[in-house]
Amino acid sequence: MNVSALIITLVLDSIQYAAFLFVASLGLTITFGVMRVLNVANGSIYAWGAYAGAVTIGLLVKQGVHPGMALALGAAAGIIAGVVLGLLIEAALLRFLYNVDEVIIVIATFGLFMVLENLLLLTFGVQTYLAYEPMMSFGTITAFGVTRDLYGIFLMGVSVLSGALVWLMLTRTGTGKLLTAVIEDSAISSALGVRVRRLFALTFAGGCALTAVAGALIAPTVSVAPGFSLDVIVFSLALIVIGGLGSVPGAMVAALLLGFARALAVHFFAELEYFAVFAVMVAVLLVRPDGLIPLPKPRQI
Amino acid sequence: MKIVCWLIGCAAFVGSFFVLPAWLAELTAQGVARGIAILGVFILWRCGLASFGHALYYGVAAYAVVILDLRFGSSDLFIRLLVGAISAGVVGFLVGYVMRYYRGIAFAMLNLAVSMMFYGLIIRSSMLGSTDGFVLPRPTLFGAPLSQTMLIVILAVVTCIVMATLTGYLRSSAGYLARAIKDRELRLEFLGLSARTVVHAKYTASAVLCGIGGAFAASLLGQVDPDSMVNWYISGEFVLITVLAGTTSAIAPIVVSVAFELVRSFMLDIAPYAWQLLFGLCLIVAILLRPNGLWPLTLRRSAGVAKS
Repeated sequence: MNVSALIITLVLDSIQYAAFLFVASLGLTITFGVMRVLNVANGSIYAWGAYAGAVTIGLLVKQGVHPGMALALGAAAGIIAGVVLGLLIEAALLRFLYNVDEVIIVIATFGLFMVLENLLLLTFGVQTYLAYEPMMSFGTITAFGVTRDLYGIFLMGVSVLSGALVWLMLTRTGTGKLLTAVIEDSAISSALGVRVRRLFALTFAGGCALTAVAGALIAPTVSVAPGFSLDVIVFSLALIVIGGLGSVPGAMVAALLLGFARALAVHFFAELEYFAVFAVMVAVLLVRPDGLIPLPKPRQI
Repeated sequence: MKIVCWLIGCAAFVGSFFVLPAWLAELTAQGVARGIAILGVFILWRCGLASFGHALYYGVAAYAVVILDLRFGSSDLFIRLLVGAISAGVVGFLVGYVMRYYRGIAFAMLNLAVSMMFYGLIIRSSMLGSTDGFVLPRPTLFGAPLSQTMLIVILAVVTCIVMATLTGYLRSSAGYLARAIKDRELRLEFLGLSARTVVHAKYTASAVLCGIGGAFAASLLGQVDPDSMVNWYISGEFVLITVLAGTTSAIAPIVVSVAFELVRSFMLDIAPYAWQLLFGLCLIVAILLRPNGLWPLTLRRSAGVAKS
């Protein structure tokens, strides 16, 4: 492979991995940004989305449905799974925890993660689900001596689009402005007639839906099997901590940084793949303890 | 009077391992070994610090024991314990220089990151056994082979010493500093103490305890691998058990850890896919209803625990 092809591969690999990480942790970013809930179980919701997507796609393709159509319906199944889980979790657990310390919420959602993991095993069993048909039907593209899956490029597009939509939603719409008010001071907002609890429930369900649909869309590129969520959890935690908890632009920068670190490691020092990601995290936290682009924080006295 | 109670309790605890059937003694011992590590997490949790990376020190000690065995051919139990405690303590002391500045979520996540760096190194390095890990030969004692029962009895004795020391420590002024760190660090500074130094000292102590636990666990199981000793998930379990045990007693983490081990192995028999569900629900219910942990339940009648 010549040098220019190597560089193109490296850049594309970084961006593709960054896109994957970003979209998998977008829901996490939003729920923390709005509700101060660092949801460790986010990776399990991602896994639920992936299972829902893979099962739906598998069934539909077997019935002879067009793979693209199957993918769309698989994504829809993911969204439904995410919304249902999000509303259930909010109603059964989170609403009791809005006033407690952030660390307690991390621990409680670790318990939630254990519950959701076992429910996954009980529902889908231990077998592996494959749903590669949509990815095959997208085909490949060759340019500048590099061959890539078009599906990977499609995922990049989805990632950028969903990031932009979320950012616009949060900063340019009425609901987004209400959310900003709630982030600043939820007690005053509630006194001014904002239904804070309902906004929280909607935000959480929305965040879970985003996470789950990410899982459903990524399902065709991987084999969906138990233990699938463990890596996603630590990597997305690393990502949002690096970016600055709750910050969407920060998450985007952090995703690119992690993607690049990982691509470099994979191409040149394959043994350091994991190490590189967490070394970046430690390095960033040492220099900027609140992450790259932290949310403004009320001064603590 | 208290001392007599303690002595009787310890004697019963150590003696019970002679009477229990081998499989039950084995299971209990594994719970106890993890319990020592969890006591380390417990020290920090009393300061309001939750570390999602203390499996690092558990793992560092276990791998140090492996290296001791492979490179230096020493399998003496006391040398193993010493090497485990020192290696974890040194790593904890060095990492502590960073951790002393962090609190809350940043503390939890930075610990997670450091432990996952170690995990990442191990799973990709064939020299460190990759994902398969190592098989560890049985420990010896002063050159003589050590039976599993004697190993467990030594573990029980060491545990008693650790619990007694920690109980004394909890009642000392050094132990009460944890409360001040949790409530308001400024108060410590007013006393002329540095909150960072205190956190650093406690962090190192917690690493040493995890190291002792790790060295024992490795010797008991005869097997060291990254996914059961270093992965972030194990750190999460440590925190889970600590939270269930609460912050009032140094005996509680051991008891809850043994219960965790026993229930896990029973549940794996009857309902292999439901045991985590059970523990997850227990943790959630405990956080919602009893934020101080389950242990104070046993004290309510007699003493009346002050709410913090």
